[in-house]
Amino acid sequence: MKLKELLKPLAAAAVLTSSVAAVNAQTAGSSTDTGRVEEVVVTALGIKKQQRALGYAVQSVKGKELVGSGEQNVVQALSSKVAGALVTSSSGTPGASSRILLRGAATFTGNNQPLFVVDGVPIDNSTDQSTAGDYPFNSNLQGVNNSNRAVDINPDDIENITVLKGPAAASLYGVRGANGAIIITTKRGQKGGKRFSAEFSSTMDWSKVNKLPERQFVYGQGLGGGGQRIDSAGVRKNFTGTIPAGWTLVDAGTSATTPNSWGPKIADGKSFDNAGNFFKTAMSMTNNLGVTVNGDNTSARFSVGNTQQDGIVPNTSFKRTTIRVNTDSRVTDKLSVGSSVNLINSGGTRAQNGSNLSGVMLGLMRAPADFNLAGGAGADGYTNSDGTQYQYFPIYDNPYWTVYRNPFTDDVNRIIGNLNAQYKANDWLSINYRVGTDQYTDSRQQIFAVGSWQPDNSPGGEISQNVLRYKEIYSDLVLNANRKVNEDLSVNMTLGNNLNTRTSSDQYLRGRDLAVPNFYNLSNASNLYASQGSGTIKNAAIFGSAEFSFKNFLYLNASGRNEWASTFGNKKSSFFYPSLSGSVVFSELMEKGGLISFGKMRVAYAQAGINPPAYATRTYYGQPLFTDGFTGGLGFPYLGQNGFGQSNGLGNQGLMPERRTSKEIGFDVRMFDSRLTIDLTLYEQKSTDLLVSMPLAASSGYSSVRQNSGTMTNKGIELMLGVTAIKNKNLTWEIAGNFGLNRNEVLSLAPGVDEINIEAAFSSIGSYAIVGQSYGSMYGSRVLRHSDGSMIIGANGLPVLNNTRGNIGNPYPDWIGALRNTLNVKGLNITALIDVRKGGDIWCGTYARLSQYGITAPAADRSETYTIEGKRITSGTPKYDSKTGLITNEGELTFAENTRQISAFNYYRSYLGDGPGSSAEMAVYDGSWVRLRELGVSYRINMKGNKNLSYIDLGVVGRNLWLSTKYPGVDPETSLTGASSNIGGFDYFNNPGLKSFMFNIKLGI
Amino acid sequence: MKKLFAILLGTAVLFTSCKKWVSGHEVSPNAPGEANPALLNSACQLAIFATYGGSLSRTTSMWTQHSEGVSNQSLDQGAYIIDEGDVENEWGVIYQGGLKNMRLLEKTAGDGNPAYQGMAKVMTAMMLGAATDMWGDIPWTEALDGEAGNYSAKYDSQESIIAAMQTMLDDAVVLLDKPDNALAPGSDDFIYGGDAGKWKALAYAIKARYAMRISNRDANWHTKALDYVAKAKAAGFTSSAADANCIFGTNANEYNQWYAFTQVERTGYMLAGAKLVDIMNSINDPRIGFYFTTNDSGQYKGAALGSQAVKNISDFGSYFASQKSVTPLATYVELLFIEAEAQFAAGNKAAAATAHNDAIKAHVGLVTGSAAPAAYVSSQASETAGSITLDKILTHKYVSGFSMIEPYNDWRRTGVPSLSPSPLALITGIARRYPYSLDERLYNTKFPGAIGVNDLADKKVWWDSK
Repeated sequence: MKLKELLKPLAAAAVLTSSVAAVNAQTAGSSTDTGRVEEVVVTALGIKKQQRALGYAVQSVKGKELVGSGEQNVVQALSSKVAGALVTSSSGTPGASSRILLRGAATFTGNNQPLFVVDGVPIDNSTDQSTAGDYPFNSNLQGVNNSNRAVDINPDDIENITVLKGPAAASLYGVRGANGAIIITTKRGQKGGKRFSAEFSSTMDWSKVNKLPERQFVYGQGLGGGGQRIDSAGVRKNFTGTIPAGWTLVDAGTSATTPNSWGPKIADGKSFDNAGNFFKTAMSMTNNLGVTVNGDNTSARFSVGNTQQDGIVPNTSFKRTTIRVNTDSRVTDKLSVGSSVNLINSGGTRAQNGSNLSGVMLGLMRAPADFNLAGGAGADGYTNSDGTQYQYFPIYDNPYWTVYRNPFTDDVNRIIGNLNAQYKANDWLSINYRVGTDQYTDSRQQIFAVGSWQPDNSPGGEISQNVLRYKEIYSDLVLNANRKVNEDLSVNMTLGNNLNTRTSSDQYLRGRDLAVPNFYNLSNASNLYASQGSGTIKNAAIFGSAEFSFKNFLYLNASGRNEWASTFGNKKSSFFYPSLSGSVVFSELMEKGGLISFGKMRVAYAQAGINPPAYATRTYYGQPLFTDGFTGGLGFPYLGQNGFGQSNGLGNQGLMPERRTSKEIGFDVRMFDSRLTIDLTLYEQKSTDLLVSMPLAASSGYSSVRQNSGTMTNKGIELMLGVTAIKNKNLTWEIAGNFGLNRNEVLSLAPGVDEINIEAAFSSIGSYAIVGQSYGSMYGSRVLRHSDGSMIIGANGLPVLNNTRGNIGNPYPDWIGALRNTLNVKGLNITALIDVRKGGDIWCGTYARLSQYGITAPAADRSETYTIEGKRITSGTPKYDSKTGLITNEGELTFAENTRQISAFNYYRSYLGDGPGSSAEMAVYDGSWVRLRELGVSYRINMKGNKNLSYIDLGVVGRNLWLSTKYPGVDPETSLTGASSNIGGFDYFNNPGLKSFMFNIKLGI
Repeated sequence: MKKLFAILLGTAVLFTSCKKWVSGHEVSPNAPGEANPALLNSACQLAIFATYGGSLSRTTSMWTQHSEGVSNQSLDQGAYIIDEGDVENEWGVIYQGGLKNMRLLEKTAGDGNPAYQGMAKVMTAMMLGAATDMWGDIPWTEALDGEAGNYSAKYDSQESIIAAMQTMLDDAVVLLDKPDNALAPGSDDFIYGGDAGKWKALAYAIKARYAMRISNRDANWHTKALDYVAKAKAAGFTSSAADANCIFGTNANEYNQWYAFTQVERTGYMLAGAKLVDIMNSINDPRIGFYFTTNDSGQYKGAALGSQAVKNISDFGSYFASQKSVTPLATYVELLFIEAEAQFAAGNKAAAATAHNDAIKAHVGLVTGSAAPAAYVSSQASETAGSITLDKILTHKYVSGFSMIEPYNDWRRTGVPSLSPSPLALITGIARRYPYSLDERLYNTKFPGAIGVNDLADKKVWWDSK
């Protein structure tokens, strides 16, 4: 095939129908084997390229596959469909954010997620917590499960997604593409397509909680102490064995002032499954209508979609309505124009999450089994007869109270659109111009009823309003010249300019101490507070690339980009970065009809530069807030006075761009007439001059300084495998697998610094970058260990703590993989997607706290004594290393195996739990899983001969129907901090995950 | 060639316009680049309130058994289980919030505003005092230099820190005596409303406190302490009206931190400690109803050490734990107790007894709002040269010092009252210091070496031993 012919479908803006990666082989038989080899993919700036010409890895996912997952969040829908892409949902509550990482985390304290691009225009995919200016802590640790803004994209509008995994996208999209890009192409009309077609689909979805920590229902509220319990006659009985030294008997019996479930045995029939009663089956409904009209010179697609999701947590929901109009017109033979307009309204009522006195899971899981959360004397069950909140412990909100009285609502109005024009000056030169925008207003309201506990220091009720605004204007101008030098050699040159401006603002208003209960207007508050923030970032760039293709078998591409950014100080304002890639289609050298039907090797080198965040060049003043971490602290305005202190973050005028250099080599081999496809990529990416908010010792007067510091690498393997096991007229069986392995290593931080905190977290555990370790390592208190690795046990029978904290876990998995089997029997399509995650630690703060309180199922075993395996120091005084905390004089000490028995109370409370003397290390669990992520059956009824209807699709899908994991908490696909944070692997009363069942019907005209 | 020229020209234009496109957005619209002395002063004072009225005072009150940690993190803290990661907030408030802004206040105020400069020095001494009392050797001479790119500061000996504080307070007195101020402190001074004379008295009171603090190291401490007490009194520290207190308010961000912790945000974590309640019960102390609430049986009962008892235990009362309750920083009562101890050490027992008796009467009057009952005065505040003992002075100072860090310092220095360690302790003995902060170990290249959770009973601060 000649190049010109090949370009024809590109110029005609052919809609992609075939999948690129073998992993996507969900539907059989639509593309021919040769067709696959000639596939084109949409790359950056919407430029469609022959896949064979690409020197870097791309993977495509069809819209159909996204819809098939039943996920309404496009990020979550990508889960286990892209080799190496690590997708983590924050929880199963409606609209909750999902985070995606391609090829690991590449920067310490900046953004690590890829850029999202819709029809050539970048869109915002941020996840924002509503945070008052006087909130002293990391708001990601609590609050509600907010959405990542890509949730606004209706998966039903998506034709195809191309995932650019490395920084290949950066030469065209600039800094924001440095972590890769998710290029979304929406469905459009098609010249020459069916004149009128329409599709209507309707989906019903039922979801339930898929996993909760297992709890005991034997012992009730109280603090019997020492593993002692009261028998039926009311006599306090000792467990057998030695009573631990120093343990004294304390008051037992129920007490409204303890959250513990170490109380007396619950009488038969008097225990309550609060969690079972609380969570409900959530029902969701999604309807989509798409109409496509294709004329001679103009085509258009119009769609409207609506989804209404209810949550498993009562009174939570997420709703989204989208309208999209895509048009394409050929004005003259040379000029064609196109447009996309997408209007979105989304939002809902969110569930309180995490380290939050109103947190649904916090109040629910900690509830003693003898306390019925719905058993209050008030009419609604969660209040007392006087209308006050019905609680088992003063400061934990009853979860029913929280969901009905403390709603958080958000309402997003958004417009995403672009206009583009293409002028083909002649047969080799074309000019493209595109201008687009993404704008939204996110209006949020949080209510805390009078008598709630969450506005930590204000039981007088609260109403707060938060308005987030975002606006991006984006444009690119691209000249493209395509010349054939001779029969064998073609050159494609691109020169472009790219401008964008992004403005965001955040307005927060809060009223506290409400005079009239249940009246929620700021006028009702006697205590008002407001804070605001805004920012503008501008980027501009010129870029160019040259692509050479030789004999349709050797391809070479070189590109460069010079970028300017508004965020630099006086040292720098622009920076340059190049890329180079090539591919060899070695199968062209082979005889046709051999074992290998297609074979390609690709090599790429790419660099990306990243500009500093806004306003990082100077040190400012602001209203300080002082807290010890236990109270909301002291802040301004204070007693009618304002106060300013110098910020704890130091600015830096000398900031330079962060650099990311990536090398990759890949093979794309198809054998046995393309019935076996293998796509393998090996990559190595190195980040240097990292733009980091480098923590400082407080004695410097500051907590951090912005600087370029440190290096980090990601090395990994991405593998996609496709097998067409059976293919005949009646039956096809396709197997598609993907596998991703990434090893991250922090190589250096700053002179003399080996460990840095990447984001403020809990006082008991943090997320760190440690030289020689993986980024995001969990950092917390740990057990003192002997040089042989065994634990040192103290006189009280519990492990001794190490003097220093250290690395106690890596939240990133060893590898992830997925395997899809698809059977097509005479139009009946059965597909099953198994998803595996190996490794990846999770700090289960939930389980540790429930152990402390005697609530976990094993803690019901209270008559046992426990002996922790380890060594006791029987003589000598240990000395500790001042850095590692390890014993330096082991030779001078004598050790003996620990034989000290301890009570169940001490065992669960302080060994497995987070009680006195416990270490965070014990709460870190392996988050590995195997799950049946999707199981789907669908059938198409072709309505041949029917004038009004051309087909009916019927489908059922089960999601997460089966999960196997040793993790003791909720579904280990969870993240306390959601998509807005670089912290991974924290679970502290996170809302649970889901298993779902959906029924889908689709009518095609 | 023409084409090439056109391309080059176009490129040059693009370069210029790209640069122009991105310029003009480098300064934040959200925060100012400077602040005036009044604004800085308010911030510095709030840092003092957070340090003296926040978790240091609560944790040390558990260690002196004024209160008892009965659940959650308070249980750990009460059992001396505090590691390097648990003290970063307190450490940060002292250096980043307090000392840095105090230095900026002194600099911003300039020589034209000696009152602000003097106040900054007094506050700096107080901040350093709180830090060195808890942490021993701390960074100072090289500290706070981050803006100049010096991120690591060496640790100075406690002895040198306390000496520097004394010099600083002398300098403060000179500054506070100067009359001419371009900018007069006023309502931005929560503690004294801008009264430089009161700050001068406070400077002497702090000098007296730290003269006494090194009693194990300085045989002549009492002479100095008595001199400073006399100067404090001469400067106006003659009644509780001159007390320096943390001032709080009725908005959530202004709450007394004992109230915020024990009554609002962390209810049930800490309750009354048996040691203090038992002492007060035994002497029928009229202040007890102001310190604590009664339990269900109408009695005052403290939680026994390590008992984790929550049932029928007294909670904190309104005097120290309501929204606007003050938390004392340095008081007339404390000054009298310093005088009593110093006179006792000097061998002037009659003067010691007088100061002791006056201190008790002043505190009962302050707390209860009325004069101490005659019976109480006769049993507790009628000591004579013959009856006064160091134990009595320090025990009453212990009772009156509730909610302050000072009783913990006194206990370490003198061992009064006698306390036994919590049975929940993992270390052998009561903690005698805080562990060094994690951020220092990780980011200060001059960090001298970890002092951690296992070292708290053994690695005493310098003044804690002879």
